[in-house]
Amino acid sequence: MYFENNRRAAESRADADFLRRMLGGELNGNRCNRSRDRAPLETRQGVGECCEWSPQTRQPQARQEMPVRPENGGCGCQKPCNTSCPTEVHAPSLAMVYSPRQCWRQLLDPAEGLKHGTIFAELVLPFEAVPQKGGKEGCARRPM
Amino acid sequence: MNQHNHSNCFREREKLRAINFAIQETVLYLDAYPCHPEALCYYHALIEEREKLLAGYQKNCGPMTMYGNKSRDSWDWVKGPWPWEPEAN
Amino acid sequence: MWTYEKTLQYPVKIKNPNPKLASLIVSQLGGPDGELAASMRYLNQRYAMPWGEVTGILTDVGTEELAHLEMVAAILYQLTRNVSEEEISKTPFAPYFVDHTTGIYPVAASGVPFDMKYVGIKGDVITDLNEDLAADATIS
Repeated sequence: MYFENNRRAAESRADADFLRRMLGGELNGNRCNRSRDRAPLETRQGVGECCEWSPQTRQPQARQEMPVRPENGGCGCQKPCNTSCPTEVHAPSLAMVYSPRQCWRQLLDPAEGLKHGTIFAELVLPFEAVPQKGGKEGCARRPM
Repeated sequence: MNQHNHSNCFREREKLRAINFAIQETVLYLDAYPCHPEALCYYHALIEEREKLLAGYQKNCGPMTMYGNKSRDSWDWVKGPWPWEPEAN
Repeated sequence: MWTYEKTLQYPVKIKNPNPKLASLIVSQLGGPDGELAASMRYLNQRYAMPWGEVTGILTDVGTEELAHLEMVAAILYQLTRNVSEEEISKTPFAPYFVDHTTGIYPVAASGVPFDMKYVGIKGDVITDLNEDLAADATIS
């Protein structure tokens, strides 16, 4: 009873749409509705088809050239895979934390990913010492 | 079976570490977006590759989990080196 | 339940022992922002989550934090191998050594043993996720 009340309380404090976006999903992972779960901005061809994946080996490269998989979702698809990735962030409530949906893109190869601590190139954010205002050294995260 | 005497085993462990990590990251993405088809596709491809790697490793080098002691003559699970020892890395 | 994989998530191979460094790194093991605090936070918050997606994330991240705990312990283990008591007595590692020798004991660099006081668990999804954001931005 407390559990259900708790869920209802969370849902009333923030509308369902916000919760869905904050938590990033449809909150009903047991029942994937393939047509409904697409981003509203995109439509998909060939609902239900799965890409062919082929392993691609690469040599470690210099920092500026990270070996990312092709934009087609990292599946090695011959045709582009539409990825559900809405770009807008709808924020109906004040004083709430928002996490944008993470796109499935720019995958690193497994060995490269392990070195960087993530398989998503967008999340490679090394700490670098940068000069602060007033000439003092400080730390900042810079994307690659 | 000595896990650290084979340089092959070292390389196999490195490959397993890399693929385990890729699976870990994909699993976390799928936890947040369970209906994402490309992520699910990538997950299955990685799992298939891992299964092959793991079978080879456990056959030649020793168990990776307590469920993987392939030898019927010896309990290799308790044999060194353990993961925190330099020889295992 | 948990299955253990007999390998570190990322290899640890330390060439030179360094007990002074160990006395600081131990905070990553048993300190307020360390891996034990992280695992306890996520693994215990997951029971009250109303949605499978969130339970899944907390379970899987919590499990991964246990793997990180093991790596930090491996670092401490290797930093304190083959060091004489005399060398240790000259470093800030000496107080730790008195109570634990080169055993692995989750404690903060300040000497405070690990404590669940570092962890906030309120059984409310938004509150708990905000605790996670404050503790560890990777959860976002």
